[in-house]
This record gives sequence, C-alpha cells and structure tokens, in this order.
Amino acid sequence: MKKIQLTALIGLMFLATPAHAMHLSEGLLPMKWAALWYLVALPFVAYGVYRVKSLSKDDITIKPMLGMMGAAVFIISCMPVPVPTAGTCSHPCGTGMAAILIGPVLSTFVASIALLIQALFLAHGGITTWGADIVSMGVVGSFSAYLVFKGLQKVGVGLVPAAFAAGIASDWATYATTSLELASALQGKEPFLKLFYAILVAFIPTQLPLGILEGAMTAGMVAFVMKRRPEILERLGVLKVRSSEFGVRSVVSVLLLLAVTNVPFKASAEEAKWTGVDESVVEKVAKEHGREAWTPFINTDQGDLLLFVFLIAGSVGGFVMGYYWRGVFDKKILLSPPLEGTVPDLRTKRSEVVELGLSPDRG
Amino acid sequence: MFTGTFSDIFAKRDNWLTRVDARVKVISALLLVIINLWSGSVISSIIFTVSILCLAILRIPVRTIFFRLLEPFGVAGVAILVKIYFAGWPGIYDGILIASRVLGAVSIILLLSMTTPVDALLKALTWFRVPRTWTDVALLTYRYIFVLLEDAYVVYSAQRVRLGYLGVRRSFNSFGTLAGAIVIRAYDQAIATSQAMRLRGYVG
Repeated sequence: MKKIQLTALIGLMFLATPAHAMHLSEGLLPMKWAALWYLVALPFVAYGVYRVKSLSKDDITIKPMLGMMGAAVFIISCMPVPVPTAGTCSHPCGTGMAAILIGPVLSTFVASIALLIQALFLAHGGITTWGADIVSMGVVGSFSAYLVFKGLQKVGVGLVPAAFAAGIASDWATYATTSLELASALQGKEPFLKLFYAILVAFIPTQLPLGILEGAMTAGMVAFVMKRRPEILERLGVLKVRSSEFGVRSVVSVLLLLAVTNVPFKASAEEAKWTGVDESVVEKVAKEHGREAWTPFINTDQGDLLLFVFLIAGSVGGFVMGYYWRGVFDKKILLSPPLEGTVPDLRTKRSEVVELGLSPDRG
Repeated sequence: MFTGTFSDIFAKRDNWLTRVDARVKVISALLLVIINLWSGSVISSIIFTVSILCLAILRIPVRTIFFRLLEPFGVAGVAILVKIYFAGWPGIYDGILIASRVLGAVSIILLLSMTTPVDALLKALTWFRVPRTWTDVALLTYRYIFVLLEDAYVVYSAQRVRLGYLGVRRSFNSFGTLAGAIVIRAYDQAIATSQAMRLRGYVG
C-alpha cells in the first residue's frame, strides 16, 4: 500500500506541470460542484458587466481598453515559463497584473473572457469548470493581488516591491483555491481536508517557484512601464495615492485575508500530534479538578458541518463586503490621453455626439 | 509560442459541421457536456471517440488535436493518480471514470471550437441573452490576441538576439520586460483602436 501511494505521489509531482495547475479541465467537476462555483462566480462577473456598462456611458475608450487588457492577460497567462524544479514548462496567471492596472472588478470581468477563450481554443479550463476557474484565477487572483498591492503601498512600500508581493500573493492564492476546487472535484470517500493537503503538497514543487516568478514578472512589468511610460500608470490610477480612509480599510482587508488564509494552517497544526495549549494544559488541569470536557453542543467535527459553517460565514462576509464595496474597491479610470492637435478627444459624451448631429444608435 | 495550436483557420473552412447554425451547435455541445457529466465511463468514452472521429473526418491535423489534448490528458492522469494514492489499486476505477469524463467533455468543446468561428459563437451567445457589453469586449479581446501575439513575438525575438533569457536572474528580468512591453503595446493599441472606431461612427 505504502509503495503504491509513494509511486502515485511521485507521479503526481511529475504530472503537476503539464496539467497546468491553474485551470481545472473540462468535465473534472461533478455537477453540483460546478453549479456551486458558477453561483459564486456569477455575482462578480455580473457586477463587472454592470460596471463596464456604466463606465462606457461616459468613456467609449473603456471597451477597447478592456479588450486589449484581456488580450494581454491571455498572452501573459499562456507564456510557457520553464520551471527549473519540475524540468518542464508552466504558465503564470496574469490576473494579478491586470488587477494592479485596472482594479479587481474589471480584472475579474476581463479574466472571465480570457478564460472562456482559453477553454474553447486551447483546452485550458472548460465550460463546466468556467465558474470554478473564474473564482480561482479571476476573483481570488485579482482581489488578493489588489489588496496586497494597495495595502503595501499604503504602508509605504515602494511600487515595484509591492507589485512583486502582489504577484506572489495572486499566484499562490489562485493555486490554493484551485487545489481546494480540485479536492472538491476528486473527493470520494476520502476526508476532504486530507485530499486538499495532498493536492497542495503535490503541486508545491511547481507552484512555489512559479509564484516567485509571477511576482518577479509583475514587478518587472511595473518597473518597465514606470521607466518607459509612467503616464500610463498615472492614467490607470496606479500611481495615485488614495485617501487615508481607503488605506485603513485596505489594511484591515489585508489582515482579514491573512486571517482567512491562515485557517488551513491552523487546521493542519491540529491534525498533527502537537496539541495546543487548550488540550495539553487547560483541559488537563480541568480534568484533574473533576471538570471533564463534554462534547460541544454544536459539534463541527461531524460530517461536513465545518465546511457548511465556513460557507455561511463566507456568505455573510461576502454580503458585508458587497455592502461596503464602493468604499473599498471603486477606482476612477481615466484612459484617454489629453487633447493634442488634431487628435479627437476620446472622452466625448453621448450628449455631445447627439449635438453634433450623429445618431447615438449608429455604429 | 503557441501560434501552431491557437488558430481559427479550421473554423473558417467550409464543411457540413461549419454550415450548421452556431446556436444549434452551442446548445448541443452544452447538452452533451452535461450528459457526459452525469454518465458513466462507457458513454464518455463513446462521446470522446465520436468527437475525435468527427475531427479526423474534418481533416484537422493530428498534431493540432494532440497539442490541444495534452493538458486534459495530464489532468486525467492527475485524477487517476490521486485516486490511487488514496484508495490503492481499487481507486483506479474511480480515477478512470473521472478521466474519461474529462476527455469526453474536452473533445466536445474541441469539436465546437474547430467548427465555429468566434464571431458566430458570440453572436449566438447574444441570442441567448448574454449581455452585449460582455460579448463586445470578448470579440475585441479575441481580435487583438493575434495582434498582440505578433508584437509579443517580435519583442521576444529581439530579447533573444540580445542575450535575454540567459540564466535565472536574467530570465526573470526578461519576462518582466516582455510583460511590460505587452502592456504598453496593449495600451497604445487600445487608444488607436478607440480613435479608429470613433472616426467610423462608434458611439459606445
């Protein structure tokens, strides 16, 4: 048994790279899981569509700009990057970069498009796993990168190091989410957490260096654009310093994110033989004094109750986040260049077009 | 890069499957994918075989099919190995079930993408009430992937000629520069495109 397990694990490590850990392949998720991830992804994409729609009312550059960003994300996330530890090629996810440049909401929107095209024309990801891929690469990848980037900038870290950290954060957060989704897809009779950790460990040799590379790439991108065309960063709002209220919120958000991402590590510590202070000291002393621990009224170790509780907590947290959305994530985007000579001003509003005698329905 | 596998020339050919309405193809592909998810490994294998046979009849090069299926094969392998890791040899049956579902579904989508051009596909999606905003940006994205890809390849070649990508440290720098160059070109292209669109009467 041990031998089979070891062989399987070694085989997994070799397959980890060609399998492109970032995307879940078509047909991998059972129906209920596919539906669940769709439900999670849908509000984010819907909000993105709403946002693009309202932005494009004032600024007709926004659609071409997002199309271009989508193409850039697509190409960057398809670049074959050699991973020395695994001896083959893998690819970065690119959504972290997009989130830094255009903000997490629009980045999720763009990722949803890039992922569909990849699913259709490169067999990276799939239609049934589209929701799951949007959640891992789009939502988690974008938001973690954006929060880390803005949080670090607020604390006073420079643009390039902040971009480096954001790239790493987005890659590793995406990878952790994908592992979670993969575990949900492959789960049979095995305990969920055990499966999750096995997949997490199997992909470490590929994803750890890849995350660092993604960080370096994001930092290099920001440094290069900063050196050659700093006005692009200014126009996209990357260089602008936000209000202090935003800073406090983003720091709180980063702390929250850290707290959330810490949960699995705590769980792993509990699974190991190293018992915590509660068990080894408090419980022991209480037992000596005749107060034995009883089973809790709500025993979260039963079945998938813990997962369910996490789901509820996630929904409530999501609602609260959504409620204060504008304050945290909204960001002004000024895409068009200033008026120069005969170049037409791109930020013409609909009303002006009507005044010129052009019907707004045309085109 | 991946220009060999990523191309839409096959979708623009004229054959009995490309002549079918895109809406019909989208609906039947979705139905088949869902049936494939519910069914056992036998039906999935049949779907896989039939799809690959169709691709062969349509004279899609074997090389293209192989490269497109490389990743799904890897994923199928991961599924089988994970199951073996946890349940020993009996786990292989569960693994094979998942693997056959993956290959079945991927082959359907492959067939769809090889017989439907993106513009027809997105038009079909708008018929299914997918928001215009989304399909507009998707179409622009798809169009400019090819343009940016060429630009990226020019930058990449220039870097190689100037001894980029030699050693780990320099590779990191080169990748960063390449990403930066792509972003700058994407930005410039977006401005140029929106100017061109406006001059031709586009009002958002």
